[in-house]
Amino acid sequence: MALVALLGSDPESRRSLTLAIEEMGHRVCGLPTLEAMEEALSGQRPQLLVVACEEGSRQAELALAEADRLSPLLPVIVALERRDASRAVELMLMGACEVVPPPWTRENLSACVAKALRSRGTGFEPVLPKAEIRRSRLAAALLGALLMAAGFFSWSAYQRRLEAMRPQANAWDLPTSHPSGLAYREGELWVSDWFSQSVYRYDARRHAWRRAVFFPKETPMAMTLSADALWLVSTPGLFTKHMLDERLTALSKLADSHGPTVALAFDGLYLWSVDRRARRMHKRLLDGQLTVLASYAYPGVEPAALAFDGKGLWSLDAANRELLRHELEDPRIVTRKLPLPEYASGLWRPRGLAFDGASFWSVAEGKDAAPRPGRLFRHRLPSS
Amino acid sequence: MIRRSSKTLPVRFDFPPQEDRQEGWGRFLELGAGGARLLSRFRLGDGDSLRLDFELSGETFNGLAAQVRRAWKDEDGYFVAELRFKDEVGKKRLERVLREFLARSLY
Repeated sequence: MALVALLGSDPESRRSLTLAIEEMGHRVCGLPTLEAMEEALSGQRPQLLVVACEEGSRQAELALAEADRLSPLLPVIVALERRDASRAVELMLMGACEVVPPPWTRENLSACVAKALRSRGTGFEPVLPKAEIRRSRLAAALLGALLMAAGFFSWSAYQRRLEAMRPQANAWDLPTSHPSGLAYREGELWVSDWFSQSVYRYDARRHAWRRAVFFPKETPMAMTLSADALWLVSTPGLFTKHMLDERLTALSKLADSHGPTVALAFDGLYLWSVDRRARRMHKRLLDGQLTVLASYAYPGVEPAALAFDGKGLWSLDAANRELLRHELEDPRIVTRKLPLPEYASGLWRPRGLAFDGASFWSVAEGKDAAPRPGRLFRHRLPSS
Repeated sequence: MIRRSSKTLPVRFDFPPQEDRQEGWGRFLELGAGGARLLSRFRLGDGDSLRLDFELSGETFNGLAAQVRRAWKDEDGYFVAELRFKDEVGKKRLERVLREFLARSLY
């Protein structure tokens, strides 16, 4: 509730304005003359001055000048008896914060009274108070403590990061930085790399890289091996079948109509692919069109890789950092979930998954902007 | 870059005669050569055509044609309207006056 000074020589105008302002919940101090207004501005310190201005009267101009002299930050509303835009603009140029036309009702006045009372003008503070100075010192001390704590936590995080980046007993650096797929065949892990557009073969027993085949026209994004062929999915959406000869000669190409495919796996009969955008798993026939026989919604969050372990289909969920075993008849049914602590640091993005008969293997790309070698992980799983 | 004044510039406005609407007034919250932002107690709606009268730095603008691109009510019940000026000659003149005004005004 604010105290509003109301200047108006006509008692009827004062009465109707008083009624409207009091209906808004404010107190009104009625003032019939300029002298009374000067006294009230000095003594009672109202928060708002309303001037009722009769037609032909110059009282509003005089009141604005006096209010500016006595209380320059006081908002002034002039209530005109007749709607006149030119006069209104003149009065606003003289310092009125608002000019209201008739009727002087609560509905008509409430918006400008609220606006005027909320207006605080410019705040001036020539000297910083002592309390402010004390607060500043306290803030500086707190900031110092905060910086020390931040430094300590940064150092700890750096150490944890170093630890995570250091190769462990079941992790090896790859000779390439951007692995995109992984498959296993006869004692060898096959790794595709999208950046170098190559496929590498890795002897898992002797930890030795044996061969690299370069595909100048393909950027492999997913890979799997069937009994007699290598299957690659390349950008922008192209399936390629390669013969398993020394040069991995391309046999056929087919547009990927259910992509973008991020993962491939062969279960001995069907080819399984994962559509990243739609988050669906497609079961395909190995015919000339790779006909999609069935599609299933992915039951995890972010499918990153697929593998077949001889009995079931497995996927690597990058968001939850876990392996999911799917029912082969209906992959929407998850029969087992295994967390992967190797990805707990959040520094690696899984790209491929394979099963060698005893363990699962995965390849991952670093999430950093800085180039670093990709990582090969062996996941020893608890026996089920 | 917008430079702020401690005062706001009042403006009178009316509507095309065929619309039969009463004149109104308000203040410019922002004023540029191509458009403005207007605060007024009087109802303004999207697409309204206005003619503006105001004075800036001793120069008078009468009947500057503008159109409301967007209007809404603020928390106090005032209408805030984004205006686009339609008068190319008026825009050129306003640009010149604004440049002169800002060049010699220190806030």
